Amino acid sequence: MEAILRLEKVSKAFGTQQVLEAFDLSVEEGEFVTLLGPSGCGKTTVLNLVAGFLRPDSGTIYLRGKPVNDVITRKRQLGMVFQTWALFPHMNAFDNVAFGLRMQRKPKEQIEKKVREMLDLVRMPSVSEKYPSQLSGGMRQRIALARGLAVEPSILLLDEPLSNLDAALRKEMQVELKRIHDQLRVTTVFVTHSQEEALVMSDRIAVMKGGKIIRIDVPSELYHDPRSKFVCTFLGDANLFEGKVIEVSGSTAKVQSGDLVLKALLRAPVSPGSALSLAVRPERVSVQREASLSADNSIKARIKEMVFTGNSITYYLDAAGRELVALEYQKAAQAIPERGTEVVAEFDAKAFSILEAE
Amino acid sequence: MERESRILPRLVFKTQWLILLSPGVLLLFLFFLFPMLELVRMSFMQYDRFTLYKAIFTWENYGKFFSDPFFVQMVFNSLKVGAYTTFFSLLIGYPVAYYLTRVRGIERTILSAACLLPIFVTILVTTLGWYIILLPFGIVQKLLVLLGIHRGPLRWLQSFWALIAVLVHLHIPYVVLILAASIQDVSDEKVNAARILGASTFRVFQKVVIPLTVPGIVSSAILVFADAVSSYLVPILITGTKISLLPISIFSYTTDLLNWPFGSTIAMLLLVIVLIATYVFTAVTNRMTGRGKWEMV
Repeated sequence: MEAILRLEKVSKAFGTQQVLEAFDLSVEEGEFVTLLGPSGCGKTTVLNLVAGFLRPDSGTIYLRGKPVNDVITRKRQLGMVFQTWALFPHMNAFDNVAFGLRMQRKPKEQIEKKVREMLDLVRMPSVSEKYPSQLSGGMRQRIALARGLAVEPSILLLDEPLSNLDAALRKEMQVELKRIHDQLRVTTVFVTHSQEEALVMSDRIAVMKGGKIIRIDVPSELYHDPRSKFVCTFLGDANLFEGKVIEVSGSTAKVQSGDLVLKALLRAPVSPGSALSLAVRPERVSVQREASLSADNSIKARIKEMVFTGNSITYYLDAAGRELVALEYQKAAQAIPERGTEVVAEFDAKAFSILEAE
Repeated sequence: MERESRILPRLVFKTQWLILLSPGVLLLFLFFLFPMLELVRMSFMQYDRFTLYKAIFTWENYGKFFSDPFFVQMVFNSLKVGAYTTFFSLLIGYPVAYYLTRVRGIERTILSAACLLPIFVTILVTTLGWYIILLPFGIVQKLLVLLGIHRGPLRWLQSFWALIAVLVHLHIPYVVLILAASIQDVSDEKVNAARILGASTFRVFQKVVIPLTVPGIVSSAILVFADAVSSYLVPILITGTKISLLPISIFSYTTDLLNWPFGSTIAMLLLVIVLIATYVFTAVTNRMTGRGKWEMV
C-alpha cells in the first residue's frame, strides 16, 4: 500500500542550527503515528514542514504519493490542532468549526449539517453559540478538534494539543482522541513529549532525538523491547546494568556487572567477553522478604524509600550502593514493609531487555 | 456581622484610592474642564470690539457660522483632511506594523527605532524639512528644472495632497506602534490555523487578522483623526491659508481678529466634529466585527 505521507531525506536548519537531517518517515492510511521526543528534538518542525508552514532545505515531502514541497499550505487538505488550539476568538464555536468549509465555499446546508455532525462527534452539541472565551480549556480543545476534522482532511496533525490541559482532563482527552480516531480512521500525526500520551493513543510511535528517529514501532514493542538506552529511559523507567558476558549457555548468558552476576535471556548470539547493557522495568522486579529458589536473579537490598500511590507501591532500593527501582501492584491489601527493611529484589532472566551500545 | 467586616475594609480601600486620585482629578479640573466650560460659555457670548465680549447670551455666532458657505466649506475641508490622513496612515501603517510583529532580532530593533525616532523629533522640525523640500523654488522644483523635466513653479507642491502626505508621514509612527501592540495578540498559530483550513492570504487578513485587531485600528484611527483635524502647524507651513481649515480659523479669530466668542464657536464645532466622528467610527466598526461579544483568547 502506498503511504499517505512520506518524508524522504528531509533536512531543515534554522540559521546555523541543523534541526532535521535526512529525516525519513512514512505513514500509512488510517494510522495514528506519534512523534515522541524531548523538546528541541525537531518533532514540531516535522509537523510544520508537513503543514507547509516551513519549507525543507532539501529532501521531499509526499502526500498521497505526490511531492508537495511547492504546494502551499491551503492546498494540502490537512487539518491541524495547535498547542494553544488557536481558535478564532471573534467567532462562536459554530463559525470556528465552519471556517474551513466556508473557505471551500461549500453550500450553506452542507456546512450546517457537517458542523452539527462534528460538534456531535466531539460531544459538544450545545455550545455552538458560545465564543471561545466562554468555553473551558477542555471544551476549546474539542472545538479545535472539530474544526480540524470538519474539512475532512487527508491527514490530521496534532501539535501537543493536550499539553495545556490539567492532568485529569488530559487523560479524558486521550481516550476521547482515540475514540474519535477509531471512529473516523483519519490518518493522524501526533506530536508530544509525553510518553504516556504516546503509549495510550498511538498505532506506532517514532521516538526522536536530535532531529532523528531513533526507532519507530508499535507501543508494546517499544516498551518491552526498547533496544536502545534512550528509548528505554524515555518510555518508562528502567534499572540499567552495564556488564561483561562471562558465560554463554544456550540462549542464556551470565553477565558480570560490578559485583553482581546476572542471568539474562539472549535474543541474539553474543560471545563471552563482550560488553552488554541490560535493562529491566521496575514492574518486573518483585520485592521479597526472603530469596526464593525459582528466581533467576535475586539481589540483596535495603528499602531506601517508597512511594504509595494507591494501586501500586514504588520501592527505591539500595543494593550495595546501586539504586534499584521496583514497582508492585496492590492486588490485595497487604502489609507494607518499613523503610530500612532488608529485602531481596528478584526478576527472571527473560525480564531483561538487551540494549544496543550507543 | 460578617457583612460589616467585609464592607468596612472596602470603604477604607476606596477612600485611599480617592486620595491618591485627587491630584490628577484636580489638575484635570483646573486645566481641562474649567477652560472647556469657559469655552462653551464664551461661544454663546456677544462679540464686542472694545471689551472682547459682552456677557449677553446669543446664538448669533453659531448662526453666522452655518449661514456662511465659507465656514461650511471649511468644515468639509477639515473633515477631508482628517479622513484622508486617517485612511492613508492606516493603509501604510498596517502592513508595517504587521511586519514589525513578525520579525525578530536586529531587523526588529531597526524597524522599531525607525518608528520611534520621528516621535522624538518635534513636529516643527519634521515639517520644516518638508517645507524646505516643497517650497516654491525649493529642492524638488530646482531638481526638476535642473533635469529639464519641468519649468516654473509646481502647483502640487503646496496643494491639498502635499498636506495629506506630510500629515500621513507624521502620523504613521503612532499608527504603527498602536497597531503593533494589537497585532501582537494575534498569534502565528491563529494565522496558520486559518491557512491550513484553506484561507488565502487575503482571506486570512479579511476574516481573522483584521477583525481581531479592530481595537488597535479604532484607537489609532481616533488618534490620527483627532490630531489631523486639529493640526495647525502643518497646514500653516505647507498650504498656508490657501486651504481654509478650522484650526487656522480658530487661531486667526482669537489672535489676529480678537473675536473670542466666534473663535470659541469654531473651537466648539471642531470638538463636536471630532466627538461625532469618533463615535460613528467606533460604533460602525464594533457593529461590523461584533466587538464586545467576544474576548481575546
